[in-house]
Amino acid sequence: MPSREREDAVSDHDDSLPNRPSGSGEQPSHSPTVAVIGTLDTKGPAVSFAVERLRAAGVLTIVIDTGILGAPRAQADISAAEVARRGGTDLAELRRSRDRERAAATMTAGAAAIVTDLRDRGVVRGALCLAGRWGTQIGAAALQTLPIGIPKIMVSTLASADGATAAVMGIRDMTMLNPITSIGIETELSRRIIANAVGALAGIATGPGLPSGGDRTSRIAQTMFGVTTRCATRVRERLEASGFEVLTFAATGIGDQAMEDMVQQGFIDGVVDVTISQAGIGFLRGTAPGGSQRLEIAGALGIPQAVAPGGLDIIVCQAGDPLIAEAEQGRRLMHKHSPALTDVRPTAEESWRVGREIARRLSTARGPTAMVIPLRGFSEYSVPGGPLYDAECDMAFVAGFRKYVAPFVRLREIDAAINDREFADELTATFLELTRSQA
Amino acid sequence: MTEGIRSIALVGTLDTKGNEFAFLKELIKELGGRAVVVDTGIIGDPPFTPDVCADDVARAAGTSLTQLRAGGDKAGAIGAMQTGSAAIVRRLYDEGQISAAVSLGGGQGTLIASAALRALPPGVPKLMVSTVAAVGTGVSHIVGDSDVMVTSPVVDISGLNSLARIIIANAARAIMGMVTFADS
Repeated sequence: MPSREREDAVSDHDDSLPNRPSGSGEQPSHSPTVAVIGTLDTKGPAVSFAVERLRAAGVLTIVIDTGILGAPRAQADISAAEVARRGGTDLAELRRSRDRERAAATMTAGAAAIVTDLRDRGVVRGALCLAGRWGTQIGAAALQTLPIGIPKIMVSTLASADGATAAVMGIRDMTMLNPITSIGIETELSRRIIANAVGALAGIATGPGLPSGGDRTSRIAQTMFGVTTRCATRVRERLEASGFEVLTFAATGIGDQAMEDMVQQGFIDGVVDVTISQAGIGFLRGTAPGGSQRLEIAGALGIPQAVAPGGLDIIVCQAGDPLIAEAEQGRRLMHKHSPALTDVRPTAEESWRVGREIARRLSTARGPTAMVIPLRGFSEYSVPGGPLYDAECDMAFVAGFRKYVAPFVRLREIDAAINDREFADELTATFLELTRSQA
Repeated sequence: MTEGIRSIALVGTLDTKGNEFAFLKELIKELGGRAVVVDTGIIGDPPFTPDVCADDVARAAGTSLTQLRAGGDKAGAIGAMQTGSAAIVRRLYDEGQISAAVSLGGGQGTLIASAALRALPPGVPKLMVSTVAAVGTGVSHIVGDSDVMVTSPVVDISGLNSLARIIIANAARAIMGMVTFADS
């Protein structure tokens, strides 16, 4: 569970990369430290080799043992027993229980907690995990706790497997490297490949900062979908003309999560959330495709956020979804997007509930917040004549939102469709007002 | 092989990612390396002159850029650029002109460049920064049975925003780190 405090963030170091432990003064430390994570019972010699190479490259190490089966075959700085303890269980008991799933969950939680501590104390400038199938899952969670820009390198044969590599890569700047042969067995090739992982890690950890680009520009995140592209593009152009840098995230679920994650890390100074379709889908279906804290993180951090209900007219359904059957029976509007995906319209009652939930979420904000509503359609599909056009449904959203939103949230209703130029300009103007009210 | 020890092949579609590759080239230079740029862009012209132009890449696959553009066969054109860039990168390596390769790419750029990177022998540093890395089984499609190192850039690399600059700077430092610390 991510904390709501800003993490040790890239932006704290202005435009330079986070290449020194916090509080180490102006000069970069001569010997950066990295975490090396591995199952020392099976990968001990490979970990020892990596540590040796890192030291030769001028990098100090903190070795974290995530192996639970046998005796460690290398020296750990943080033992498997300590990792298990941080994960809430006793290692001896884990071994006795022979419950692999529980053991994996425990070691995953423990390793992530330990790396989080190291991160918060500004100790580590990178992390390397050498792993087989078991260790990859555990190490990935730990690496993912490090902010963007801090190197996180996973050496795992899963890189070439047809498995769920997306889960390992997550939503941060993860690097994966296939060792080709098992790293449990020392070969000339596996040593060369581990040396490459070490070289990449050392290169980043010991490297100079980015050339400073002068004053740091305020960074604004926005969300975009095909059906809100014209709005997002216009907003982006207007903000760039006002001197902001705009980072655009595709509102695909993963993209929503990546945006919220960047906000959480303190990388983003304001949000223009043009496309919140995933939040709507999440509330209606009890899932969280955009992350469980969608629409709450910017508010918790107090940065300005202007939100539009872009894409709330769309529930993206895979073939076979019962909502498609309801639509085929004439109980919902639908639009066939592709053979695999169909866009289905929420009912008016559902839209009212989505309005209520979004109002509640935005009302938790501690910073300047606005909802700007295009009264003539929430996406390209919902303008008059569009396949999902249903003005009554749009108004149900507005009613639900209005009833439950806190008074401090600015509510603006614009007599235009979301992709009309006029709407984008009003949205941009509202956002700019929020940034000024904060200053 | 001494001349090529700090020379890195930069493989990518300069028509769509020209500025990003120019930035990467500059950073590699600042880190004491030399970039050998191989252009795999099919559609447009590059914003700066590469060391190996896209037409040379097409010709290494037995065709030409004009033919590929006129042919209208997108998959065929990608296949040709894969074959051509793989042959060129491998030749540069065999001749001792490069000791590593790096690429940044979206969907199409990744398809082409990862084929070129996979043409290098195992153990030779090869880094692919790809927007498809975090999607589905994206990594395994790039890697195959090779040791291509794959980094996810989190968002599309289009434009040198502050996030892209961090990702590209780390790619430069990673590839230079690999050649610097390889044989100590």
